[in-house]
Parts: sequence; structure tokens; C-alpha cells
Amino acid sequence: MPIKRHKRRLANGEERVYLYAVSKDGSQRRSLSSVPASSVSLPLYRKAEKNRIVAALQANSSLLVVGEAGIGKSILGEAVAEELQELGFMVAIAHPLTAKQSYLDIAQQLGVETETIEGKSLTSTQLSTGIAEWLKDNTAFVICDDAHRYTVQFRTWLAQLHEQGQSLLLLATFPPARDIFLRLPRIELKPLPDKPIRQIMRSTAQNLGIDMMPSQLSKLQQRCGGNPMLAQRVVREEYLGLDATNPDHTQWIDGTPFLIAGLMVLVITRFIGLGLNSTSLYLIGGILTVAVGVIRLLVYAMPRKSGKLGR
Amino acid sequence: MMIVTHTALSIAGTALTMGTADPVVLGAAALAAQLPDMDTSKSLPGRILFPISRRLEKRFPHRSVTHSFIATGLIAFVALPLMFWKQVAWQAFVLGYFFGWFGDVFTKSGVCAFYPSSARLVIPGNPRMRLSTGSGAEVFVFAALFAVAIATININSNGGVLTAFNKVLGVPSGAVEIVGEEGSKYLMIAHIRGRNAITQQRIDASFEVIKPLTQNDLLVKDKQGIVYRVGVSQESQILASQIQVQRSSPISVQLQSIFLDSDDVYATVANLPPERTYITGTLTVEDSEDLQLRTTPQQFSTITLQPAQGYAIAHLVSASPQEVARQLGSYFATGSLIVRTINVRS
Repeated sequence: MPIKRHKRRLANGEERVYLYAVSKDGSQRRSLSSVPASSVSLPLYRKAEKNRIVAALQANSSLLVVGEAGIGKSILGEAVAEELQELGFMVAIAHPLTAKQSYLDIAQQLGVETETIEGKSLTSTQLSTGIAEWLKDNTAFVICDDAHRYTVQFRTWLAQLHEQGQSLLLLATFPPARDIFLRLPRIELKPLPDKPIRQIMRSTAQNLGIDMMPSQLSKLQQRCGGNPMLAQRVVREEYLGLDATNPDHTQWIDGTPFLIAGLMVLVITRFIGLGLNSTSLYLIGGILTVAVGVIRLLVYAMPRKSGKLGR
Repeated sequence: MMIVTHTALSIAGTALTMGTADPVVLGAAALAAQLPDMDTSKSLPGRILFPISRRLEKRFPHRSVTHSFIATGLIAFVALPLMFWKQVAWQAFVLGYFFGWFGDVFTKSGVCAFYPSSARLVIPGNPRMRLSTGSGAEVFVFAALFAVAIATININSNGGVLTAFNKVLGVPSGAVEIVGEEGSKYLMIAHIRGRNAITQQRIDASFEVIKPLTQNDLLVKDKQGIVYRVGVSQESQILASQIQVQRSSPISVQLQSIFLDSDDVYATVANLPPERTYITGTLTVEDSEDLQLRTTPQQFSTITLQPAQGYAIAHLVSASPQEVARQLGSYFATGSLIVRTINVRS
């Protein structure tokens, strides 16, 4: 049954979100949940990606979704899981734990036995084999969040699942170009456009109970780079009255080589001086050549950007 | 970046690239440099253009759409009417706008230079090395840019980078270039360091420039009116290692063409003004068997003689009327002369 969501303001001023399962003809309606509006996650801004992934998984194809940290992979994974569950499929979401814990987690979500008839816990090997066997006979989807942090053992097991025809969805932050990551068809999540980022910032500010001017949001937004997690973080930092930190997104173009190249063009003056037989122009060109060389040396001697946070 | 830093960068950049010191042109650049910051109502341009800044800040992050090449192109198009008034003002306006946002490339957040791409252009790559608005480092950068702007304006108003360079370095060929460019408008004074080609005496004195002779040599005269060829060629009386030329008073040049047809040379030149009059041309001197020029190797011969059968051909190069009267005054001659008279305006 399709699920519908309604937001209602109660007499006491509180806003709540109600979730219903409604039959296609509208004759049957079942209440699923009722939660405060502030606790409801933000609307999904990646509907196209979600639909594509759901369609691919239903077509028995596995996928790898990559993107920078905070770009919205986990939210997308949850939305895909929700959609698949609505369609009546079983879904297991795996998180980076130890291999055994991960097997246990998946087994519990899928309803696979985790104990022997005698009530003894199954070993990792038994669990992984049990899940693989179960997946051969049943249709279910495995969504693996933070896949770049999985152990080699777990990744190898995922590769085996993939080989036996199991549909997998891997969500990873810039994973290494090897094994399962290299084998799966890949979707790269692009930064969100300005409009949804602004909406996320506004709604975060609203949830925190602060009123932010468009000029403040505009100023903070330049540190987000289309990253929804950073959009929420910068608003929280503002809320806490913290100083602006260096932007953490990855949407950069380093213009230093272009600047050096532009300055190098000035070296042509030397050859113009040579061609025109002008000693002065030739000398100026020579001085410019040295100046550009020195600038280049200094720029490239500067410390490189560190991968670590803080100074 | 602060308003003053944007202004200083824009003026320095525009003055350097356009080689101008025109206050109207640089003013246009300084004005345009403020426009990229109209995307926030917190900035001064944003407050002035509030209806625009309010719309922009509602939709776009700071330093995005207005800080881009696409916006620069749009500004170039919108400012096209300036072309009809003054083309250089339009160029300066567009350049000023470009430098206005390009300065923000050096800030921590960078700019969306390639909008609609959200990637931010930054220099250098390490955010710790970039500027924060209003920081001590920015004040230092502003001071440096301010100095560059003042120096550039000063250099441009004195004839440009090349002239300034020539003046400082004093390369003889550079001095010839300066005289070639400015000699028709100003009386040029050359401070020459070098040595006398014959006596090998050291020379460190100022001379008045008459004209350039070749690409490397100048014709100058000292306070006594003695003319020298100065430069690096073998024919020079003064071999110069450094010639620093400077403008003196503004001048007006009067040119006169004289044709002699067996006329008395003395009568022709006697009425010419004695000061700063230079005669150039070729004369055929009649009955010149007894004509002998009184020359000295230590100075430039403004008159040279080529004797022939019963007559002589005299070549005059910037000769003074007194010199012509003294050497050729008692003869009759045929030929044409160009008289260049320089009047110094006070």
C-alpha cells in the first residue's frame, strides 16, 4: 500500500507529521506513525537518483554510489530502502562493524537464523554462508552504507554475493579503485544546487529556533559547496556563535597554475624586445622572467593543503 | 575583502594593464570593482543597490554568480553605452569589475568563477595561506596594493613603464627612444656618464639634447654651446655608459624651409634667432677654393665639406646660425636648408 505523509498543526501550536498507508482506491487507510514535525528528516532532493537506483536494483543490477562525505549518500540509501520496502521487498542495511557483527545485523534484518537449534550462536562463516544461501532462495536487497570502511573479509563476501547474482547497493566516500568497488556500475553524487542547500539551511535554522537573514545565509552558504551536511553544520556553528572555520567541501579549482601561466606569458616581452631590437624591452622581459620564476618558486614552496582538520 | 582592498587592486590592475593614469578611467574601474559585492545587502554597494542585492542574496550564495566570468561578460554587455562616451572607460569598467571579484580568489572561500559550476576558484590551494576579510594579512596586502597603485599611476603619468625603466637604467638606446617620443614636446636634458673618446677624461655632466642621431647616439650641447655626439658608436665624442634623460620645459618647434640660389649665406642666416636654431641641409658653396673649415676633433662637426673643382658641397647637421655664419658667411651658395627653431615656453 502506498504511504502518504501529512503535516498538521494542532490546537496547542505543535506541528506533527502523520504517516498513513493508503490503499490504491483510497478505501483503506492505516495510521503508521505520528511524530513531531521537527524530528522529520528533510525532503529528499535526489529523487532522480533514487528512482534510478530503485529501478536498477529491481532489474537485478548492483550499484556503487560515491561522493564526498556529507553529500547525502546515507539519506539516499535510506530513501531507497524505504521505497523498496514500500514496494514489498525485504531490505537489509549494513553498517561498518566487525565482519561478524555485520553478518549478525544483516541476518537479523532479513530474518535469517543466527543460532543453531541448540541455541548456540553461529560462527561468522556459518552466518555468512547462511545469509548467502537465504539470499539465493529469497528476493531481498542489501544496502551497504559507508562501504569504504568495510574490512577486506566483508568486502570479499560482498563480492561473492555479487557473483551469485545478488543485488547490492554500496554507498562509499571516495573508495579505493579495487575489488568490489571497481566491479560495480557507479553513480557519482554531484553537489546539490544552491536552492536546496538554502532550503536545508533555512530548515536547520528553523529547527534550532533561530531567525537568520538572507544575507547571513548567503554568507554561510559559500562555505557549503553544495554539501547538505555542511549546510546544516554551518548553521549550527552560527547558532553556537563559533568562528568560521576553513571550508571543508571538495568543490575547489586551484587557480595557482593558471596565475603562474598568465604571468609566464609576460616573458614574451623579452622576445618582443629582441625582435624590435629594443635593449630596454629585452631587459624588462629578462627582469619579468626572473620575477615570475621567483613567484613560482615561492608559491610552490608554500605548505600544501593538509588532509587533517584544524591547523 | 574590504572595499579599500578591492579598490586598490582594481586601480593597480587597471593602471598596469591599460597603462593609464586618467582619473576618469581609473575612477570607472574603482566604481566597477565594488559591483561584484552587490550580492549581499551587508556590503556598501549592496546597501546602495538594495533591490538587486536583496534578490541576489535570497537566491545565491555570497561570491557566486556575481563573481564569475559570465557576470563579467554580462557587465561588459550592459556597460556597452559607455563605449559611445569613452571606449577606454568601458574597458576600464569591465577590467575593474573583473579585478573586483578576482581579488576574492585569494580569500578562504574563493569565488564561483566558472558559474554555473559551483566549484570555487582559489589561489593558493591551501586555505591557511588565503586571506580572511579584515585580517591583519589583508591590511598588509592592501598597503602593498596601494603602493603599487600609486607607483603605477606615477609611472604612467610620466610616460609609461618603458620610459620609467629607461630613465632609471639610462641605457643609451633607451635614452634615444625617450627623446624620440618626447623630444618634440619638451626640452630634454641628458645627464651623461661616460668618457671623452679622445682625451679619455671622465664625464659626469648634464647636456641639452638637440636630437637623436642614430638608434644609439644623441646630439647634445653643453652650456657653452659646444655640440657633441654622445653614444656608443666610434664616431661619438663622448662614449656614454649611461644617459638619463629628463623632461625640462615644454617647447614649441618652428620649422622653416630656406632655398638659396647663389645667395649670400651670411645674409640668409643672420636674421635667424640665435638661440636653439638648428640648420640642416646641403649647400653647394661657390668659389670655395680658399674655404677651409675650422674644426676640432673634440666636438661634433655640424658642417662637413666635400671639396670639388671650383666649388664645394657643405653638409649641415643641426648647425647653429652662428656656426654657419662663421664658417660659410663670406660665400655664396645654392641649396635648400631646413631650419628648426625651438621656443621654450615658460
